[in-house]
Amino acid sequence: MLHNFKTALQTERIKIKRSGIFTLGFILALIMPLLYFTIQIIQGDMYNDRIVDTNFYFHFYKNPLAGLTGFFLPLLIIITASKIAQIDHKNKGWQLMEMQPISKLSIYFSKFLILCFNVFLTVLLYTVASLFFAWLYHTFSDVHESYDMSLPLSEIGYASIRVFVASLAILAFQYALSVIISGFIWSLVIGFAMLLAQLFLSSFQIDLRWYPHNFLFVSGMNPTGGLLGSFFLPAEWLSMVYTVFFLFVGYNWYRFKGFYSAFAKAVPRAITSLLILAVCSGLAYYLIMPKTLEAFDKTVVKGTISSDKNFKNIYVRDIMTQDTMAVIAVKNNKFRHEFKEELAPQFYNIQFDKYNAIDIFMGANDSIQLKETLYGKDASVSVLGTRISENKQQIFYGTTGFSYVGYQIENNSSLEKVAYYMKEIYSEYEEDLSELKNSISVDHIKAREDFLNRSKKLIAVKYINKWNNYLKKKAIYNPEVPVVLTPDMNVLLSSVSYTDDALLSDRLYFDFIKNHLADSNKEAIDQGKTNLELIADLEEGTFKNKMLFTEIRSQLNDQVKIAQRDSIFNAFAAVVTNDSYRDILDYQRKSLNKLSRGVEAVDFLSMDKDGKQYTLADFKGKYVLIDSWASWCGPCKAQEPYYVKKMIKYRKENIVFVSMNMDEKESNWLEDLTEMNTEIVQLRPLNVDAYGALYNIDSIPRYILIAPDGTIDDAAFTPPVNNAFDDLLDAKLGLNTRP
Amino acid sequence: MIEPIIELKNLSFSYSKNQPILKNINLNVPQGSIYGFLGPNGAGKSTTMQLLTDILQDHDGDIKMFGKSLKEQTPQIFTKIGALVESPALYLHLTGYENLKCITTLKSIDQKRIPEVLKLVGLEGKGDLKAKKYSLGMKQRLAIAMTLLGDPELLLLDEPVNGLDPSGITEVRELLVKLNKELGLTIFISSHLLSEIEKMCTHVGIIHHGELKFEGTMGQLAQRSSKHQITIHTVNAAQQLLLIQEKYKHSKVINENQFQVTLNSKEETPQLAQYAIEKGVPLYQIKAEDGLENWFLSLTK
Repeated sequence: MLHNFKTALQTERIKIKRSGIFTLGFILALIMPLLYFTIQIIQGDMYNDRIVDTNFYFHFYKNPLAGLTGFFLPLLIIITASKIAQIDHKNKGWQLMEMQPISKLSIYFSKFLILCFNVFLTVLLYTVASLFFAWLYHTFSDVHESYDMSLPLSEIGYASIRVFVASLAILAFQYALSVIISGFIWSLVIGFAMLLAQLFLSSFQIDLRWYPHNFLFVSGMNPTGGLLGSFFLPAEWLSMVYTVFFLFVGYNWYRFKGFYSAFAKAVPRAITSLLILAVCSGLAYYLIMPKTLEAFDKTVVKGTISSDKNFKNIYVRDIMTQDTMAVIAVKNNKFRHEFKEELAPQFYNIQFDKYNAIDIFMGANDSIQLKETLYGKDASVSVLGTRISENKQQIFYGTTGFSYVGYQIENNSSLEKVAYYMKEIYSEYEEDLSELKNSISVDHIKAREDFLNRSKKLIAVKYINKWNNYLKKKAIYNPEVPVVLTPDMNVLLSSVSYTDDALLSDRLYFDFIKNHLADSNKEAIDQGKTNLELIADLEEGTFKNKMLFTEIRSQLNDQVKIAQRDSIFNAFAAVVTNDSYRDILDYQRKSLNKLSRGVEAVDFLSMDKDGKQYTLADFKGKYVLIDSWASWCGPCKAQEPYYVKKMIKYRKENIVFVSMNMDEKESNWLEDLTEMNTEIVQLRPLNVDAYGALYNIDSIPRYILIAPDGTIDDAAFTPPVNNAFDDLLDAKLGLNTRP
Repeated sequence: MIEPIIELKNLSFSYSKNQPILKNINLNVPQGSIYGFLGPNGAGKSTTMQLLTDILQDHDGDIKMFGKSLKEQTPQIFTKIGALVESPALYLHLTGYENLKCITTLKSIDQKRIPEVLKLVGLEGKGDLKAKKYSLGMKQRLAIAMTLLGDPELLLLDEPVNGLDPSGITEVRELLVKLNKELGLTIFISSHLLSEIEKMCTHVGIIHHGELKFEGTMGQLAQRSSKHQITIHTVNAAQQLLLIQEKYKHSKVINENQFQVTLNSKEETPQLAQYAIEKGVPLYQIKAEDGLENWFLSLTK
């Protein structure tokens, strides 16, 4: 039997001489790497920038890969499958072969094997070529030193093997088509139509998880594989299932020379065919359907850190209360914490030492794995574990793209068309809902119900807000037009509860409730009732506590004078029945009071790069604006040019611009200093941590304004990029009285 | 008694229910014979050929080759069979040599046989030309060469001399006869050319409208068509016929200048000539008709 197959293979090799099958593979393999190389050489700037955690060779391999998998490889498959079948269709070869001592099995599969080998060689050649051209580029052009220049052979091999497997479904299909249909044109036409369909679908980002060409597309777009750690992506498994199915159908159709004879005529054959169909369909269905990840038996946050900085602790915070729920110690750049208490499913803030932070969605029985990477000021966090989909989408408010309806409301256009607005708002709402449902990761994982429900509610809130905006505008411009709610709109408006305390941590919902309170109590507001009073009037319970807490806290922050802050606290803090909330508010009040306007600014020692020491007292008589920053802080760097501009503008005024560095290592400060403005007073506290504690610097950049008499004017002044910066400073410096 | 190399028992075949192509064929090809399968176009010769080579399946009745059922022996049986069905199956983009190499690879035969077989069919030195450059006759010869590779015991040839010029036809005929005599190669050859069958075959089977009308040796065939017919070219044939009709009752006018006389055997021909001369019939031509052909034509009307 094997000998049979071997002779069939050898004969095929003779038959494909001068057919161009392998030559075509050779050419198509080289096109993309060559093209990419040429473009990069001409443009010359892609690899000049600093990068983090990126391998140069892998990047050069990965970028043109989509061209291979999206077009050239399917093209190769369509043409060579047709060609190899036509060799025998044209010359009555099938008949000739069937009158030789080889089985039809050998005839069919020897050709298929040759095609497989061709595809394999093409992918291999692509791989080698891209490595070669990468090396060539590196020889002739600059590559920034931050790129990893090792040869990532196993990663590239892994990606290429998966691409090859993903292409087999198309190959088996096209081959079956080419053998069954003797005219050469039809298999080509069908093949190209399917290829174009995939190009079309992918340009609209439509992911048809059951479509054979999609498997290759997905594989090429995800060279690093999936996030769950399985060797093959679901798309690649699907390709294997489809390949088996198409080979079965194609071979038997060929063997019995007709669909009916092959699958329906003889009962045992019919049964086998149905069985194969059932098994393959079942497997395919299992692979295509998105799954949610299983819950974990504990609630765990763990991870690794890759950085040039020292990390001591990771902080997990409740977003609403800002309460630190856990402090996780970092050992050997690894950390792990198990939550003993039950966590409600919502977003939590994870802060990496004093550096960057990220909001993570998790709840009880979730395992969250984080990988923090921080080099220089470039930070990135990757999230794996049981909530992959949820954390890819973050706070999902639906599309952030352009809303035509929003634009129209802004411009007060045709506000009298009530029915139109209702229809448009509802249809955008539905679009967002469907996008939520359709976000499925490359591992075919979808978000769990709790996340989806929460997001659905928030999307509804977003659109109810839009509707309310519209109503407000209409009340001004077209108050006489009556509003009759359609059933759809009624559904939308009733889909959000006004007492959902789980959603309160989300700003959008909180403001929504506040507005709702205001709207429902118009008379009370007219009589002078404040928001806090309205909230205080709510029914007792978690919802009221949370709302009150959030509002009190925000107002404490807004107040500038100690007296005002204390009066708010005294009036409303007692209404909060939750003890820990009250304690948090009290703590906040005290620390804000410590830094209120008029309070003596606690002095501290600092030095410049030459070691000369300074104190705040040195600047008495002038306003002092202190910018707290660090080398790893991206937003600080973003503000820097504006800070310099303002310094130049106010050069002649009674104010000193200071930049206070908060890097852990002095060397990091000194390095960055070489590129910074020298007219600004560049200082660094002798004790960075003490300085940070004194002025409650929990995040940077932070701008502190000290008055000429040495008291605090504003411990959290507006950043220089804002227009308010100039207005506020002018007022303080007495500049806006001038003509 | 030696088993026939091919045995068809009650073979029937149809593509669709209403159109039977073969009706109950019972055929035996003795070992070592050259069996001519004769019939007009559309009689079912090619269909029978295709059934013998398992290209067509789903037939009623039995097909036995080498004493065993055909179905059991495919595809390995093709090491013992060389077949040429309808127009030659050649890879036109390959050279003659490469085409033959395909066969030697498939049948696991030594490549040395290729030049030998090329010489046998008269294509010596033409092996390196691409098959698409071959003339029709050369293609036919190459196809025959492909059937000869591997020393088969049985050759199945469907109209093998199609497209060959007279010298080509003769060459092929002589080759087949030689192979049959020297190697005992059984040849099953279908054709619509009676003359060729007559010259080459030892046995004959005549098929018409899907039915086997006759099967037997050449000798038995000759007996069936033993009546000898003479065509005489003259003037006023009708008139002349009257003159001899008394003695030769089995005669008829063909056209204005020809009439036909049926004799019992060719030995009676000189007598007829003499009699006609005596009666004063002007003789422009005395021609012996092919009895077999006539008989064949009458059989297959």
